[in-house]
Amino acid sequence: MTKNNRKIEPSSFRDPNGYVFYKGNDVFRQVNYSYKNNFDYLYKSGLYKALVQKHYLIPHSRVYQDRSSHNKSYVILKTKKIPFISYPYEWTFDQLKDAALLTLEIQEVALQYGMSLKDATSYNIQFLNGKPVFIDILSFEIYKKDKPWIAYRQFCQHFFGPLLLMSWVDINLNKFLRIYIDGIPLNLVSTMLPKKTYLQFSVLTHIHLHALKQKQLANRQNEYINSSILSKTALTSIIDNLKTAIINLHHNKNDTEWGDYYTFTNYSNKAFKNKEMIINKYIEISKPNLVWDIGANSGLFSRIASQKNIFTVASDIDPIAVERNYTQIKKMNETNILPLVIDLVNPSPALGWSNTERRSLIQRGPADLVMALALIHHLSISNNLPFEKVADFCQKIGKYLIIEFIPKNDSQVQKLLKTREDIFDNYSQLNFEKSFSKKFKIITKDSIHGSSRICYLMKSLKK
Amino acid sequence: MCSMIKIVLAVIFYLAVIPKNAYGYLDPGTGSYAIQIIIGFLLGGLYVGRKAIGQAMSYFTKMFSRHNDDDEKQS
Repeated sequence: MTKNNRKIEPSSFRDPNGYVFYKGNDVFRQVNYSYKNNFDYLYKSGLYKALVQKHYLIPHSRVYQDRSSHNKSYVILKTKKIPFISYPYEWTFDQLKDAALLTLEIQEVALQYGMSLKDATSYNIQFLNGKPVFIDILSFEIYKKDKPWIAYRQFCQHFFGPLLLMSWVDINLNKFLRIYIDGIPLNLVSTMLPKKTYLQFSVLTHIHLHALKQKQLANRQNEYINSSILSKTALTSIIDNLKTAIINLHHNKNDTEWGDYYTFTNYSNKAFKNKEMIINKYIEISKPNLVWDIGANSGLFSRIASQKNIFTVASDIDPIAVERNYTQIKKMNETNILPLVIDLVNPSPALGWSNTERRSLIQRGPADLVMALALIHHLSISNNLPFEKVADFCQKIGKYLIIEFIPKNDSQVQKLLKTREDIFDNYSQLNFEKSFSKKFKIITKDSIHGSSRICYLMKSLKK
Repeated sequence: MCSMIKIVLAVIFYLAVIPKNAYGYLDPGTGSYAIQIIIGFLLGGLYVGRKAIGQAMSYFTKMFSRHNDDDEKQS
């Protein structure tokens, strides 16, 4: 949707106080007059400065201010573009946990300055320079003395509930956020959690009793409750209790299929080093600004690009491998790599109102360079995808492609064929090159020393 | 032990907060407001209680150590 050369962000319609738009490569936010008092207080109170100094809130600069009240627009702000927008159903457990803790920290700081968050959706957070950062400057309102926190339910549904499900039930359950775009309903979380969580105070109160009270009062407005007082001390205690509960949450699943992939594969040291050298060479040839490493595991080869200061999205289907990647990013303070959990066979679709609020994976591309290493056999053999389909997908998401062909005699392919009939007569290097040549020009190829695998650098034939 | 007491109190207060006046109006936030008041009352009360106990302990410790100092000066 465009208006006066502005491309309005489709997901930015819910808040009448303003919206996000793009002009060229820059990101702007219009702040309407309806938000003037809260906006001015955000700056006058010192809260904006405090949050930016702590790197909690993305910095904004004013590019326009209307001092009359004739126009709807009060201020236009410019802000930094997030290199790759990601969503909570693509994050690992620790990424969602850090986003939750950031939201609570911000609420605590806001209360100290006399303000409060009016919403606590996980879509207020994005990852920038390896860390979560709050992006919605319109989320702050002047604290109303002794009133309960309006965003409490949303926080429980977007953060606490999903984290509990990931910790207690299954690490992949944040994917429910694809279905429930305003967070997982508390009655569902309550039903799915094991009964022993009733013995934990924080889960009993914030989830189980909260769900019951919601159901009990669903069709009633109650003057008694709406006029009741929740002191600032009590509210701060609730925030503190949620924070402690979340800090103490951990996921239990340590072993998945691919967690130890690089320990038990068929790369010798020599083969490994040779593959690294080849990837390095291909990156130097293609000179990308944005790399997507699909099937990245824990980001070993993604780092060849990211350590050259090239922003790299490192995605994999395995949440534990991606978690290892994120753990390393935090430990080493890496800034140019974003790990995400993505299933290429069923990637994130477009969601929300009119399918425009959350973009699909393909819509967030294309990348300058896609890396598809040790991947083709999983797509073509495990998932029965013909080479043409894979080539078509790779062309949709990137301009250059680094792809590794894994021949049938490779032990990893033999492992995949052990439990199924070999119906893959077309799975050969010749057919692979033939299919990909319909979509890409093969610039160069190299055999990996000490293995039977071949690496290719290709360029899309699409202009 | 402390967690069990908190759990029991939470359940008691949850049951105690019964709506008085009911209107035919859909307000999904009312339940969330109600549970905050219950939890906040409990936690806020515990916080105030802990602080009061801490202050009382600190007072008695100071009083006791002052009493000991006086004894040492006299002997």
